[in-house]
Amino acid sequence: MKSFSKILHFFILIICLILQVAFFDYLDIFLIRFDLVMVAVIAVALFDGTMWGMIFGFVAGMAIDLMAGNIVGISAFIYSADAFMVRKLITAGFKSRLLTYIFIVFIITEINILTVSLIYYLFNFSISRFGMGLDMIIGPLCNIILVFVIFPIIRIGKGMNRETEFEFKYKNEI
Amino acid sequence: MVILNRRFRNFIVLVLIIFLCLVAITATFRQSEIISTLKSKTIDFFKPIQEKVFSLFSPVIGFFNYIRDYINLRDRYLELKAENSSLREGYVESANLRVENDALRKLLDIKLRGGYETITARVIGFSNENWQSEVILNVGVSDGISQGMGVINEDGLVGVITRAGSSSCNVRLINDPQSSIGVRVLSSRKLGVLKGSQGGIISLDYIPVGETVLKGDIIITSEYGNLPGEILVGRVSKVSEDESSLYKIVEIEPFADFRRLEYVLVLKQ
Repeated sequence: MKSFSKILHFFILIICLILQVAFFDYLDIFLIRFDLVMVAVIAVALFDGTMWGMIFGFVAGMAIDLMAGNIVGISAFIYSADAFMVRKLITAGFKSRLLTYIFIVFIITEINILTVSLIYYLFNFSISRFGMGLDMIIGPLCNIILVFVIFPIIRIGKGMNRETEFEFKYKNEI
Repeated sequence: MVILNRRFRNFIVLVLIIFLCLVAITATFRQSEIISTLKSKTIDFFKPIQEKVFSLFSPVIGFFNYIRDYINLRDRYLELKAENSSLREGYVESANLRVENDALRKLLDIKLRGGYETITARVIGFSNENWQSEVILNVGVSDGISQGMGVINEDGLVGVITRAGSSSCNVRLINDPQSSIGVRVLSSRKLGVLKGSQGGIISLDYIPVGETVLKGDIIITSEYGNLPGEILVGRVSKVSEDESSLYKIVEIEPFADFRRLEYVLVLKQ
């Protein structure tokens, strides 16, 4: 059952990846950008554990970089680090589960934008502070909307109840 | 003990992943053949499903484009009105010049540039972030595509092929931060370099402060680059100067709308 759910989650992640490249990246209206893969990786890290989140994040990130990336390895690193950070952030321990999800996605989106900007800056790309600032406002909002779509799908795939949802400290606090 | 082991295991996995990512990043910058092959194979592998998904979502993308167009309608109308009146003035002048040009060509026995051989392709993927603007096309080496070929649509230059797989290829759009294309200002024939940037702003570099470049000037490709000359690229949208720089700051508005790309032509050179 466990391995079945992981295979299922992997397929969901691949679908997210294809949707991201073939559809969501095309919907760039008024700087609205959805990061479907990032939200899916966070969901996998929450429901399957950090290690699987990191592995799936690495695979999805590599695939994105290989399909349409300037520097191969950056998305893989970012998504794997996202999964690793989930474990740290889950201890924030909001009373509402939904608030915790939103908090995690918000923080990780902000960290992603800053990290990617920093990496590209180090690789001698020019940075637009205005663009980055707008991204830091709009990006998290878009990804929070995706929480309401992706998380239930991953949870259904896992077939779990809320008491066994997290394997970290938070489990005992729900 | 179990928790400690799990934390340790996660840490080991993270370190391993960071190491692999560093290897991949280094290989990218060393322009490794392995990375190029992997890129081609990955794109080819995902191509069939990506093509289907793209076709499926085309109406939705079209709907969002309609919304965008509707919001920009009034500005676009005023812009086109002004452009129309200036084109009308230019038409009379150009008709006279054409007659004169034909006569001179006959006199000097100069052949006109022939039409380019092209390959029609469909966009099946898009990557539009601050740091990159790329599209994936459904044609590859098997269709005669190779790296460096130019890509155009009915409006003008779209980009350049950066990687060709067996049945798909990547196109770096002209607003990508890594894009760099040799161009000319049509009116003054001055040469410059068209560069993309983060946020998709396209600039025309290396135009000295003393040169005259006006808002509205048309930019075309230069015959000295890898692309064929005189392909429409865009129009100057902003000209300014920086006291500390020897060159003007010129922004270009491309003719091609990258968010509407569906079918394009690859220039077979």
